[in-house]
Amino acid sequence: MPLILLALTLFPAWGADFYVKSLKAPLLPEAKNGVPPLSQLERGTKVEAGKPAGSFVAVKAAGQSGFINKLFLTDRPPEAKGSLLQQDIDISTKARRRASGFTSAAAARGLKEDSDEIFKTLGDDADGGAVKKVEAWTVAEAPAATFLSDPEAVLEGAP
Amino acid sequence: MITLLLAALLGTANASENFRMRAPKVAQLRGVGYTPADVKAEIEFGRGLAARILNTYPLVENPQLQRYVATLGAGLAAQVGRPELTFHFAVIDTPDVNAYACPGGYILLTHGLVKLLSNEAELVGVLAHEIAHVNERHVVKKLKLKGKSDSAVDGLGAMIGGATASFRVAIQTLNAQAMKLLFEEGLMSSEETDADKTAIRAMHATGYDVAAWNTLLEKLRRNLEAGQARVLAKTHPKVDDRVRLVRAFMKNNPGPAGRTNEQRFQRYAHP
Repeated sequence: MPLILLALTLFPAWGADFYVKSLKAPLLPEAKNGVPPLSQLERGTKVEAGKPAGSFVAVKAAGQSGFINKLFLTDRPPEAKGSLLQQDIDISTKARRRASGFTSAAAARGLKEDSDEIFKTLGDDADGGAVKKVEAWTVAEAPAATFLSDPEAVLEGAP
Repeated sequence: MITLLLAALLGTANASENFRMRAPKVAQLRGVGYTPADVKAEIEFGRGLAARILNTYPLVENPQLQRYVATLGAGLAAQVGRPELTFHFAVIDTPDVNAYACPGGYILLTHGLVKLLSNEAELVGVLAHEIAHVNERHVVKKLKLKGKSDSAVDGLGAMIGGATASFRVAIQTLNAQAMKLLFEEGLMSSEETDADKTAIRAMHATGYDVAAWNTLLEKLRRNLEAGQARVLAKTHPKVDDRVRLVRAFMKNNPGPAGRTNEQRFQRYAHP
């Protein structure tokens, strides 16, 4: 990460290709927070980077010019979860602005059948059941990102 | 078969380098220094480490708090975490003030830390700090964790696969080393500083109030002065240095204050 930020800081002119790493990255008309975004760029979108401006960098993407926070960019196409670990993420989006979609334990865990081997190896020192419980609580990315970005969003089913 | 190996235990640095050069890579991970097999090994090791911690400190029995932390954490990880990982978040039942980033994206916050927080911005800062440790693979690098190569001719991988008893001892040893690293020795000061920098950038990037990180640090300072948070004091840089980082960032990034979402935090974390 620091190297990517450094690279984004050093590029003096247009021409360097970067990719959106975050699930969604707001393309802003100015290099500052608090302004309505021009659009939201999806993960994997290729952008042409220009001059840095503080925490932001000027970019051209999808026919638009604007600014993106450097933290949302990477210098290589982001790896997809599914292709790497055979994960099956449940994207459950029932209602807008509600963070629903707790995945099933198996879906969240997303590993092969032999993944409990580590618990067996550690024996009585490990509580594998508690880990599976935590994995079962895992929320799908899309509703979780909505919850993060929307102060009015609520947890589904919570009082 | 689990395919972790510890170069320090079972091979030399040179052997490890050779292994790295021969290991197959997918295009997306080319150039970052690790392979899909390394990622899988990291996740498996992280699950084991989380299981070890959870065997010592049980989960807090508060479904609403757990869902809140899991949801906020997943949202933050979607924005600033390594895309190839699925991050998991939970609160463990101990009054200690600390948080632990296990490899593979297993992040555990202590109840003592959550009780110290006043708003969502502070919580996001903590989560982002821990995500940064996972992103930068600090524990993985320290322990020299690698995955077994898919190559049938990989000598080190074959040695691991064929030696069950040695393998188990190696895993148990690694696990114990990781526990010592998280609970006693800590990571390098520079790694904690880098995690702080990422946390501040992440708070800013996601629209949260960066000043909240300073507020939290001041509370930590009072905790430390009162003789609490002993482990954290031992494993993290001095509060003054951490505060200076935030001030420098805010000076270089003027603009409207971000949100703190105090009301939502109080509703779900401190009902």
